[in-house]
Amino acid sequence: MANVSLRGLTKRYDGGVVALNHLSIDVADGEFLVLVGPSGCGKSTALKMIAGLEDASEGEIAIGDEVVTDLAARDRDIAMIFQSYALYPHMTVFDNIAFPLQIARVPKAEIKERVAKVAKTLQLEPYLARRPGKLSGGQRQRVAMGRAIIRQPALFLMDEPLSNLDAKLRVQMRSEIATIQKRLNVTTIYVTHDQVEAMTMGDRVALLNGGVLQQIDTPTNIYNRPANTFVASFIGSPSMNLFRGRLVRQGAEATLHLGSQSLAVPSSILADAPDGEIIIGIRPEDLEDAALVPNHPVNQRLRSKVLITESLGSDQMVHFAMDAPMAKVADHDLLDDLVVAEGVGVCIGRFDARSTARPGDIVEVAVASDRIHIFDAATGLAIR
Amino acid sequence: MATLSPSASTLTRPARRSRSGSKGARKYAHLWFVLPGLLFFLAFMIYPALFALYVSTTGWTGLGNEFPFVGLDNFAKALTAPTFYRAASNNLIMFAVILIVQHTIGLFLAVQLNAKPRFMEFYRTVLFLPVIFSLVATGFIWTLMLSPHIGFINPVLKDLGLGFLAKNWLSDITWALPTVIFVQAWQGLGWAVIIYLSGLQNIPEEMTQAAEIDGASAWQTFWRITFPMLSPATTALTILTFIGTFRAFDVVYVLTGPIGSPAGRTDILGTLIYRTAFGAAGQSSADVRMSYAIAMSLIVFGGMAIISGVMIKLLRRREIEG
Amino acid sequence: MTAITQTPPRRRPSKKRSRLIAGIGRQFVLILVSIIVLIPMLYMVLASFKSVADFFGNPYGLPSIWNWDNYSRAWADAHVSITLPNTIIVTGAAVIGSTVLAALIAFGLSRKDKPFAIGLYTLFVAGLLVPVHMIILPLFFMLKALGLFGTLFALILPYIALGLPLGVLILTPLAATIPRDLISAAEVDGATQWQIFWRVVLPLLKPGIISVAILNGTWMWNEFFIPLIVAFTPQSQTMPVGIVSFIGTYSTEWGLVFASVVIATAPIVFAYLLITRQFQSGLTAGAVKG
Repeated sequence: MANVSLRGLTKRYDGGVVALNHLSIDVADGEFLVLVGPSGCGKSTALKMIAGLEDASEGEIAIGDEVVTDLAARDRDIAMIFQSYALYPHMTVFDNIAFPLQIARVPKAEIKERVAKVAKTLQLEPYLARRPGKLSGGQRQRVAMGRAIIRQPALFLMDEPLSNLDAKLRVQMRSEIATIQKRLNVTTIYVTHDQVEAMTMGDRVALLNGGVLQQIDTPTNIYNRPANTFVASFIGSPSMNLFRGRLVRQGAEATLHLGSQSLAVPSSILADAPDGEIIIGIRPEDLEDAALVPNHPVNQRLRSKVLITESLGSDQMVHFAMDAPMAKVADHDLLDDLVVAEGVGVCIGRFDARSTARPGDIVEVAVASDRIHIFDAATGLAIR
Repeated sequence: MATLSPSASTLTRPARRSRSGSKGARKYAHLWFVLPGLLFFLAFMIYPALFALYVSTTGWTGLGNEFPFVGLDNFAKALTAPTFYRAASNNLIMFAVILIVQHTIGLFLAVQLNAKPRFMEFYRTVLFLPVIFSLVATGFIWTLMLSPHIGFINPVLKDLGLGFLAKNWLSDITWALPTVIFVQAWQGLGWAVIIYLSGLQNIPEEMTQAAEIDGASAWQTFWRITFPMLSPATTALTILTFIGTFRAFDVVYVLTGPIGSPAGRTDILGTLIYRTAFGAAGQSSADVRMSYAIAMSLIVFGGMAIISGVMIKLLRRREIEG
Repeated sequence: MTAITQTPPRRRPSKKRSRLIAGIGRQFVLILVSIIVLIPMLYMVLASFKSVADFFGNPYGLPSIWNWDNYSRAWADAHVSITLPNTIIVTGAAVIGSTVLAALIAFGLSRKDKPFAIGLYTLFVAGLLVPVHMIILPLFFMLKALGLFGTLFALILPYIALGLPLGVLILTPLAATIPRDLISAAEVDGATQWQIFWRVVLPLLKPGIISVAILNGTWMWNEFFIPLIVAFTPQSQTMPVGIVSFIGTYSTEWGLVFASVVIATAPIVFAYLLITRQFQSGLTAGAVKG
């Protein structure tokens, strides 16, 4: 078991493409760190570099107290679970799990004992004599787990291990992996593009985009205090509503102008935000049909036309028009304005199921304005 | 498990000892797997080939240590020698005839087998059987089968009252070459059947069924659907036949000897090069010149490489993109 | 609609009948061709039992006496007792050698992004075009200089080299289809490249290896030209050349010759009948690719 530290880890391909740009992270011993981000963000490259399957163009990797940057994968004392599971098709389940031990020339009797133990943990006992081709997706996933945990390595690396499973199995395996990791207490770096996995499994979540680390923090902090508009829009479903607006202060009063409408906001959330152009972020659950919260201050409401409603049973997603320009996050350092037809942006609110808002209605929307997020209009960085 | 030393926060930590060589060495590690084979290949293929190139520009006889430089004389001599063209044209006839046999009889038989008749496995096994026979065995079998008096063909013809058809097959000026070609075709037909058969089996049944539903007759279906779908098989077989017939040697050597009797009627490039290099009974030793033989084989090699390259290009053009 | 405008009532039975006729015709053609293929082979076997007198008196019938003597004489006089083991040793050693080397090369060159991979692959495959005629003479002098004349190595070593191009041609693309993750997994699991080759790559190349072994084994067993040039004594010859050299001395003893030919051919025919499918797919795989 060991801590891991990455220092300025960079991957540059021939032709100048930078897949990973100066990634520096410290992972504590026994920690479960999730690397998350959209496809092509560099998370898999980072994992492969930690594994020793790709060379680092720059930077340093240390596992435990040793620098392993230039070591081959086999010398790093790690175990890895691949998205494809990478089970050896010509070997039985037993041999697949035993492979790392056989390679390490562990005595036969001990191998047998350890495989039996792992197989019991993962409920693979009935399948030990089978080949991977004869197993279901979930069983294959367990065999891949078994091959990783049998070695008791210093570090687990997992590359989207659940993405080939169906939704129900994914939920089950999610908690199983988390449980096993906690019990073995082995440092784990887990790559996924699924924010639900990131939020539920990780002790901490590192969000990458375009090869650059956007934020690394606990899931709660990432959600509640996104460092920039990219993090804000990536985490959470539906995404945070991001609009360009103007901040105007008059003494202790502060007002946000969103298109033709305005919202009063408590100055506590504004910190040292400058007057003028800013980006305003509102999570859908911070919006509610004002008819259901009659006491909501009048100056913290928006008035808008409902475009679509989607009922989820427990609540409903209400899309309504906003005449403020949407701040669309296309790249980590480039904010594109997107104006929907006729200058109408779309805002999504998660309304209670009792709301009677229907498409075409004009509704009053209550905004929990103490939970509004404010970002710099030029850099997209959070102001708080 | 990794042993934990007291926590260190500095970046310069002891590097773990590598058992797999340095990063740079690992980049070229795959070449270790290539090396043993490459050594064999360099010693027994590349070196002799380069040496052949050198020798072809000398007047070396094959004996002694004299390598007088003669430039391209050997090549010029080969390209103006009537025997060279006679041999090449015999190869060409061989190629043409066998090609036609493969693409007609071979294809026909493959279609019959593809209809899955009874005993299909048996026929398939039998038709491919000659392919695994050595050309030497084939040559001997047919030498005896075709021998004028004690063989099989002539005595059978005689006993059927068809004695007038009996020939001195392998020493008859007219019949020697067709006979040699027949023996080669007999041996190679299995290729055509198996290659076409696997081509036919790769055609999805829905495709011919669709044509049938569209009202095409069996004949139309074959020419409009099946045959075009077989073009990869046609290409492979054509190239294979080309290389096979222009490299032929054994079968002629055994059937009609290294001088391609009678009167050079069955002489092909393989036998010509062989006896130019090593000599043969009934040939004056003045005609034996190693360097000349090597020059001829280089011409044949170059010609074959160019022609098969062109053929592949032309034939691939009509293949359907898969 | 079709019933009214087209189908006459008698069409169905007539179609059935025409199918029956086609089936009979098909069987007739196939039997005829099978006979043309099999008669010479049958004739070879019969001839191997015939005495000299039989050839003249009864050219195509059964032998008057089944003359096993031909076989014992082929074994001793025609040196089959020496050339048969030679052929087995040469073919076995060269097949194993060239297949293992080709598999190693295939693994080494399977990643196109590695230095020299494409260049070396092209070099090996280009060997397919080199005619034996061209290299046999330099080879002759080389083997002589190495002192390998008179030993089986004079055949085994060139055979291994000549077997490589087809092996590399078939196995390299196959090795390239092995998922990269599988190799990575083995690396992470602590395996050396060498262990990865033997424990992961080689087992997965098995179908290709069988093809390559059959392909090379067939020509090596039957090869005539190379031993004709470089092997002069029965002690260093394989069967095809042994038989041809022998016939120069005993040219009229056809029974003896055919007994030798039967012995030379039987092993490979048995192997073929045992695994017909692998032979057919293996040989055509090489032919179609080459």
